[in-house]
Amino acid sequence: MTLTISNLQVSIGGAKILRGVDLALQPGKVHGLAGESGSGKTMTGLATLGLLPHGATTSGRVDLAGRDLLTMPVRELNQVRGKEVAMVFQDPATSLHPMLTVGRQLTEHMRHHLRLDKATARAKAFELLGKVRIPGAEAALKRYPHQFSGGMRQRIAIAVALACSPKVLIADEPTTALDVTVQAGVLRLLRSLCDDLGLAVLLVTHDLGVMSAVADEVSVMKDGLVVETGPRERVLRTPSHAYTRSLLDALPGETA
Amino acid sequence: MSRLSRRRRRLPEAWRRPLAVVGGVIALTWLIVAVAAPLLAPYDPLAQELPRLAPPGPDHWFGTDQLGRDIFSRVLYGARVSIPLTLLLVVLSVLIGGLLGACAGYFGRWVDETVMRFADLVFAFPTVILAMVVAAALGASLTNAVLAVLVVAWPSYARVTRGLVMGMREREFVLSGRLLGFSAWRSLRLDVLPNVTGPILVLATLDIGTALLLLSGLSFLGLGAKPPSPEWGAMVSSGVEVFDSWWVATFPGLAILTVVLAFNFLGDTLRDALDPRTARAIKVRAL
Amino acid sequence: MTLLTVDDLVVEHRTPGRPAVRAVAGAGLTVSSGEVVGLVGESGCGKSTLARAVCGLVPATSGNITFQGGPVRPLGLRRRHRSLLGIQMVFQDPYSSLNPRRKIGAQIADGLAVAGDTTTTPADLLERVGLPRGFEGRHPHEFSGGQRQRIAIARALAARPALLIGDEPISALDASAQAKVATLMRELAVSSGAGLLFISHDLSVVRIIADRIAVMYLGKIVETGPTAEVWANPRHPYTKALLGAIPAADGAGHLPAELAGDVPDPADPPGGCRFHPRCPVAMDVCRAKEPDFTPVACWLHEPA
Repeated sequence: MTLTISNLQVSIGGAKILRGVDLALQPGKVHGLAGESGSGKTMTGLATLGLLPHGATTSGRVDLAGRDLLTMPVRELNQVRGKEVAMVFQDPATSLHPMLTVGRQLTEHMRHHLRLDKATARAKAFELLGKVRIPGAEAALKRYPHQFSGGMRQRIAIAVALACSPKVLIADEPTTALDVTVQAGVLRLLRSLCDDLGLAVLLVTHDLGVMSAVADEVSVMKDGLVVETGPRERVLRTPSHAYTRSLLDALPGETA
Repeated sequence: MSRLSRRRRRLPEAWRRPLAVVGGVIALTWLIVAVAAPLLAPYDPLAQELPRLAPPGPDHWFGTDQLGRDIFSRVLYGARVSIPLTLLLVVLSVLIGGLLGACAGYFGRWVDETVMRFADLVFAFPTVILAMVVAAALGASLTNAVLAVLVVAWPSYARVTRGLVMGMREREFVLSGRLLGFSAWRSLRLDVLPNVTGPILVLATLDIGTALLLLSGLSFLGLGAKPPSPEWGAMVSSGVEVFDSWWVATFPGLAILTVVLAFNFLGDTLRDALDPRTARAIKVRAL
Repeated sequence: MTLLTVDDLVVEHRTPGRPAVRAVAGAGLTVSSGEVVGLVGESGCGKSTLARAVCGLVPATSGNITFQGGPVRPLGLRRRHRSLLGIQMVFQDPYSSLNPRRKIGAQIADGLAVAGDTTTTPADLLERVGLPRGFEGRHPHEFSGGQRQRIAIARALAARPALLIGDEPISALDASAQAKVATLMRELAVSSGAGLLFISHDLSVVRIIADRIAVMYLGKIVETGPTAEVWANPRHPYTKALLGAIPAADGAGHLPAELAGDVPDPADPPGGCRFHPRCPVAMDVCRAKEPDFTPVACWLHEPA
């Protein structure tokens, strides 16, 4: 187990957002977290990074290698974020800094967290862009995010997330803002990174098709609770919970 | 549903902050004073029958001026002159600037060019100097001072409204109204203007202080209210002539200060209450 | 009966100091009464611009748009011409498709006024889009995205349009609401005898509601045909790539096929066939000459 969430409860201003979530991420596996908007799936992703909104009260445990991220002091948490657990967001246009070159954004984390010198960090950034299959890495390092297409930007955001070789990657709707043909490429990339680097990936998505393509394990959330969890094939083919069934039935392609 | 209740909870939060309460209480007090001045004032503000330049004391809280008039009564009556005129001034600037700006933003092309070039022309001059020039050219009177301030005040509303309207014009519900055959006027009235009033209201409230200051400033310079009218700016001006008797200029000056501050506080509060992003910032700071 | 004909439509976006961007570069399309046409393509392919041109919201640079036999004129500052009130549109963003300051009943009544309908009430329309009659006195912020989109549909339908256009009307909704709202749009349009031009990047939804599909790539329609036929046997390589990229929720764990490269800059489209730089089966002729024929604009499918 790389990261284990047990009985996680989060409430904000008296409203219970998460009501006891259990989830376990394993190295080299993609864990898909499905649910509709408002089900609490994004909040679960944020909680694994200790990124909860102000005024949120929590209970339960988010365990990363024997340490609880929920009770960890902020200083220590800042070391964990980016270095051990990294995140990729839905919209690469807003998650990358528009005024910094791609090279700068890639090397910044490495120099801060890993204390690498400029040349080493740069060499590593070059390697990372190759890993996420950005063509012309040398030139790409000098360019700014807006000079790339949406799909390329999301690959760069993934490269930034991978800069410090984290063990856990949280991907929150990483392909929702992308076109379907571009999405296919990003999904393939996520899968191969997970296989090659042994990453534990939490893939938060509302799209059961995406889930089916890359996830090994699937959890379905509703109203702040995980209602069903299990291997991909079992959950998507023979769902045991009525809510999972209703999600699958609502899909247009399968029933017609 | 939860969106609504969250909003309801947030609104009073901005209004509960100390500055908002202070601003509200002061502004309200001055409004009451303006209405009830004849009941509250112990003396006739124009009667020159008291000892001259008497310092503040139990008989005359704020003292008397060089013509033997009770300053406390004059300050109270001054509220009847300055506050309604300032409010009228701001309302007129909002109406004129807002309408011109809305037309410029909605119709674009030559309407936009014409209106905004006039606005730029006004912006090109320092506000106070331009107001002085206009007031001097029209002749010194309170009405002309109001007109002068109006000339310099409308362009900022025109500019803000224009920007807001241009953003709103491309919104989907505005387009869908146009597709349903709304005339430009109907579209502007029903779809565009009601959705831009919030920020303009904030600007107007913040501007009340500035307008009062400008108006009193013109009177101070002798370009506005004429004696014996108990206008605050003019009173400060006459107080400067008798420098040793500090009370003559100080109390009307304090009146101006408190009104300006009160409306600035209110404007800030209104902005925070209407703008969810700043409101969230307050929340975070409070925690 | 053909309701709408779009013929060789070109729409250019001009920004001073930059080359004009051809968002729509010679597209042709027809919609008949009672027919549902799904227009699909990736973001930036010009499908929304085409929809806006049909409504008159953006002027055509060249080409013709004919609605019920008359030309569609761009909407200026004057009131929209009566003959065009028969085209109504449902927009993409449910959070800006309704005026937040007006009650939804009043907004639906705007549509009824267009049709001169004094017998139907806003409450009737709410019922038709599956919302309680009593909601007419409420404001838009009291509704979810899906409900708002239903209200926007009610407003457009109240005007009794002969042609209803949906510009990505479901893309901002939850997955479970998407299919429901799309099906509702189809039912309401078809039962009133109107044509529906449904624009979406989501092929799986278009598949269940459209009679005919038109696939757009970089400003041009590259393939049209009956939905079932296109779905079962896509002929243009781009259509194949689009369909192949949709991941199925079958639990099988198949990674969808990737389409190489990015969509080229519409300001500087590739010569010859616009798809050739990304096409897995490109031939010499594709680089040299643009395939300007229907229903499949591909040299592999040149009509005899």
